[in-house]
Amino acid sequence: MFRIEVKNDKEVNLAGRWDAAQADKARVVFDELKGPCTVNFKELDYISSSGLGILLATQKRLNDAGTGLKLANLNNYISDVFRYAGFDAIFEIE
Amino acid sequence: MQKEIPKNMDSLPVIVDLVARFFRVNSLDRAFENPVNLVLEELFSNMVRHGEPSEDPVDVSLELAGTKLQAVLTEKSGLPFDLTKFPAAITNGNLQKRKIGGLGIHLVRSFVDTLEYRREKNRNIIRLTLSLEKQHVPD
Repeated sequence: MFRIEVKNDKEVNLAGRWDAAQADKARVVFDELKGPCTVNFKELDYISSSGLGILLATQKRLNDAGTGLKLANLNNYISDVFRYAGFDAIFEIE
Repeated sequence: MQKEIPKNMDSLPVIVDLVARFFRVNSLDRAFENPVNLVLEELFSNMVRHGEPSEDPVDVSLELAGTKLQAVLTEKSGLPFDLTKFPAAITNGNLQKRKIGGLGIHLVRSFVDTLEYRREKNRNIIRLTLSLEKQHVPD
């Protein structure tokens, strides 16, 4: 199961498993983000390349507007995935 | 352990269940369950997205060989697609140079030890091994 919620336009909370079948659900939320935002991975167990693609597209768009995403509370597996993808160089990760 | 999986994105939970059952039956370290799920999801998703729509399921088999997982995915009807020939994704460089696609195959290559493709009688067959011991993540 995958849950995504936005708080105060500044925080996105993720929970569950973000696999390819959840792409549309996530894209709808990330496409609406306009300003600096922290994405909280504390309750997210799993992510795949589909999620990475959405994060990357959002970061590119926000970066063009002079802002960006901060990623927080990644578990070990997601941290490994982001390092393999080189995301540690293009995202601020807490 | 083997299962025929309908070739559509609604089948991803079936793969998750298969992996969970494999890990449970073999008393494996669950820290490796997500990497295995990732590899299988990426390869299966490629078959769904880039292959021909088909009623034929994808056959997924999982086997333990020592401390390694051996997995075989067989797409029984699909266009030839040798993913081992797919160019490497760019994972360094600045944000604007990064392309959105191609990360799936890159992640598969990052996690597996071996990855082979074979075309046989109109079937795409992908065989991989993945160590179930502690993995090194490059700095």
